[in-house]
Formats: sequence, C-alpha cells, structure tokens
Amino acid sequence: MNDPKTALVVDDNQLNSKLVAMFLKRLGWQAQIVETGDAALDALAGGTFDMVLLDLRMPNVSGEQVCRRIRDQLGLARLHVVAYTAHGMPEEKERMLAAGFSGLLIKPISFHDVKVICDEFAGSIH
Amino acid sequence: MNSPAPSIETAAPPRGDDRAQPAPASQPNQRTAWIVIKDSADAQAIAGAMRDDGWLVQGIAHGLAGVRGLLAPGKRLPDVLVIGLRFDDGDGLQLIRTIAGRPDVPAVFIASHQQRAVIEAAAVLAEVCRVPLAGIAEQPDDAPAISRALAAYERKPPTSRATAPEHLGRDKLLSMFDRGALVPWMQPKLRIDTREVVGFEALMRAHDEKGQLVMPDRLVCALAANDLLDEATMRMAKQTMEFVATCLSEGMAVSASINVSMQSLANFAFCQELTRAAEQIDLDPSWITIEITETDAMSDLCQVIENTARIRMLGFNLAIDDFGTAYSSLFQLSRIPFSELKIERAFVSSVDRDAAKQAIVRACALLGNSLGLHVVAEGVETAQELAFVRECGCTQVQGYLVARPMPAKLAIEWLRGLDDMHFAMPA
Repeated sequence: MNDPKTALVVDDNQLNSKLVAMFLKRLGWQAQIVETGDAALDALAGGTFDMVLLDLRMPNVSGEQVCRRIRDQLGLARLHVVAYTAHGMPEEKERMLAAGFSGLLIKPISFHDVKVICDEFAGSIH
Repeated sequence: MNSPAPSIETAAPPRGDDRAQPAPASQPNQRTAWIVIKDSADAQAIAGAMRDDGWLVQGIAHGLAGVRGLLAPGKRLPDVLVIGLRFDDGDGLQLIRTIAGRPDVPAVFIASHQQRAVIEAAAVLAEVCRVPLAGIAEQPDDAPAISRALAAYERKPPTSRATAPEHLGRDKLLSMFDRGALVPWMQPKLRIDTREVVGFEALMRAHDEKGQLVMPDRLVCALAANDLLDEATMRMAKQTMEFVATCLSEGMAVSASINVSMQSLANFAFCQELTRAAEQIDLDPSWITIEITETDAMSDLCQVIENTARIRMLGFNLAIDDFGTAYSSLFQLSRIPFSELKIERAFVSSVDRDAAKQAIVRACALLGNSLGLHVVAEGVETAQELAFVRECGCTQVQGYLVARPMPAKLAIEWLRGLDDMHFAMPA
C-alpha cells in the first residue's frame, strides 16, 4: 500500500485548520498544521508534501507572498499550492493563478470541495 | 359630466320577473349574496340561478352608485359579492378596494368578459387586499355554471385569535433578553449539486413568560419600536456564531446567515462588536452571512455601499434577501458587494405550475449567476419545485422540503444524523 499523501495546512484560524485536517484524514491524507507563512516555509524546507492549503487572510505575510516565496526561494515549482480564500470572483481567480497558485478553495468550504481538490492533485485515493 | 343614474334592485325579485314572489325570508345558515353586474339580464339570470340553489340574493346593482347604498356603514355585508369588472361609473377593482379592510368583508366572485389577464389581475388584487376569492367566470352569461361554482365554494373560517396577542413592551422584551428567551431557530440550506447541507438561516424566535413561542412578525416591530433591534440582532448573531463553531469543531462544515437591518449595519459599533464576537470564539467570519432585505439594499446608495463594503471588508458574506419583492434598481444591485442572492419564496411556491413565476425565477437565477453570486431558492417545498429551480441554475435551496426551522440544539442533532452531511431527498 502506498504511503498516505501529505498536506500542509497553513491557517491562523484553528477551527478552519482542524476542520480541513479532519476532512483530509477522512480522504486518507495526513495533515500537518502551521499557523504562519514563515512556519510554512520552514516546514516545506524541512519536509516533503504533496499539497499546501494556504489561507490568504493571515496577519503579517500575505498568502500571495508566501506562495511566491515557495516558488522562488524554495524552488518548489511543481508543488500543488492551493489558495484557501473567500474571494471567488473570476478576475480574482486569475490573479491567484498568476501569483503561482495551483488552485482555489473558496470559503465557506464543504467536504466535497476538499475532496475535489485532493482528487485533482493526487488522484483519488478515497 | 353625465352621471349615470344609480341602479339598484334589492331583496325582492325584480319587476317583471316571471317568478315574481315575495322576498324569501332569511333562513338560519342561508347564504347571502349581492350581484353587482352591469348587464341587467346577466345579473338577473345569476340571481335566479343562485336563488334556485338556495341563496338569499339580497340585492342587485349594476354599478358603483347602486352598490354604495348597500355598503352604508352599519349595514351587514353578505357572504358573497358576485361582481363584474366594468361599470359605467367605475370598475370592480374599485369595488374590491372599497370592501377590503371591512371586518365582515364578503368573498368576491368575479364574472367578466374581460381578457383573462385582467380577470387574473383582479383576483390577485383581491388576494393582496385580503378579500377572499370565491371564484372567477369568464362567461357571465352562464348563470348555472356560476351558481354551481359558488355552491362548491366554502369559505375558510376566519383565523381569528381568541384573544389579541399581548403587546410586547420594553419590559417584556428586556425580560426576554434576561431569561435568554430570544433564540435563533435554524433552517438548513442544501447545496443542490452535491446534496450537502452547507448552511443554515438563523430565524428569530422568542418564548414569552408562559413559554409560548413568539414569531418575528410580533418581535421585530416591538424591538425596533423600543430601540432594541441592534441588541436583539447581536444576541442572535452570537448564538448563531457559537452554533457554527460547534458544528465546525465536530467536522460539520456549515455556514449560517443572520438577518440584519441597514440601521444596525450603519452602526459602526455594531459592526465592530460583530467582529469581536467572531474573534472571541476564533470563528472565521466567512462562515457568517449577513442578510439584508431588498428594500434595505435599495435605500440611499452611499449609505448602503459604505455599510455593505465594510461588512465584506470585515470578512463576512452578504446576501440580498427576499429578492424580487421590492423595487430593485439593477444598477444598484450590481454596485453592492453581495455574495448571495435569495429568491423570494412567493416566486418559488408552485413555480412548476405557473409560467409567470417560471419567468421570474429564471431571470433572478440568471441575474445572480451572471453577477457571480450564490443563488438560493427560498421556500422550496416539493420535488417539482426543486427540479425547476435546479434547472434554472439556483445553487442552493432552503425550505420545508429539506427541513423546517428548528432550535439550534435540534439542528445539531439533525446534522449528526445525516450521512456525511448529505441530505437524502424524499422520493
């Protein structure tokens, strides 16, 4: 059996990150939770992940900046980085993709939304 | 101006009536009627057919002037008015407006040669004015058919309360606050494509001192009159946020919406307190939707934009409620940062059987989708209504088909009982 896929959940809101982690677990994934962009960069520098779920609405460093640093500083060009955001307008989606995100998870989320993202970026393992 | 002579014939059958007979004496429980039809022959024929069917026809008139005498204050109105729509001195629409509001308002039966759209509009006028409608006939010269239709009509007993509801004064309202008796009842919202329950609308309920449920129609006016609506809304919001946080902590992803007046939103301190309330329980405000009515949304544009932009900036979502009931400026609608459009239930009810409602729901759904909004159909009660709103592009439904509003504790139990948040639609 393959090792479970691993996701890094970056969100300063614990209710959100725990909910997503519960969903990921139900989908057969492992989730590691960090609360800041800097902690996310540290975790990514020290470990391997199949996907990053990154909240755009965090204090200090914005989600978009964190995504750019994942791509530019860490050189992780192929890592799936999903923006977790309340912004759902088409033009905003274009901006997110231009900033280097692989996909969007629009708040408020449902289990189905997380499953679709997991299926898209890892092949269905549920 | 030439005013037509009043034309009225009362209780006794008209002169020359070959069935000339004394005015029938009123029998106990005998149903009473007036006929107000311009054409004398039609009016007489209808009166005759109705008498044959046991009605006491108390008066026949051919215009507004004729019926005015019958409507004099203090005179008892009959059970039914059979009316035409056009008279020489006015029309049936005026007559419906005249009798509306009388405590003993009779039912009306509309018999007219007018085109169907006009007859239907008159029927709608009656409904809007709360005048019971006994039926319609497009052929006023078919007296037996009219009498048969009337024989089948049974007026619903008035839903009068034994006693008028108790006035809710400031003391009673404050006591509700103190007792924690003002609570949100939750009605679920279903995402149509995945059949997941994704949210709830929090509806205001209270219990009076006797434990009786008090509904928003009594509550909101009383709260507003006593300058307590902001506080009541905040109490609702806090309980709703706690409900959502509890669900999220159990792995049940649901948002919730609360109804907020533009007056509350215009209160900067109110918005700050909303944010603080979410922060205190670590709830991301994007789980909460603020619903404003279409009427509120269409008030002063500067004020509305300022207040709605602020609430979005604070991270809350924003819905326009009861869409289609007020006078939306589509321009204004496009300028307000809504995330959700809720189609008024009146358009959804029986939409599968009403071409006009279908056109309205289709247009609302198209408009909402085109503006990038979630489109919620409210008041969905049947599988047929669901199928129609789904086909129109509505993304979510709310209504008795999914569940009635329920206290928050029951709503959590209800959610736990679902199969992975999926609602199994009744067959």
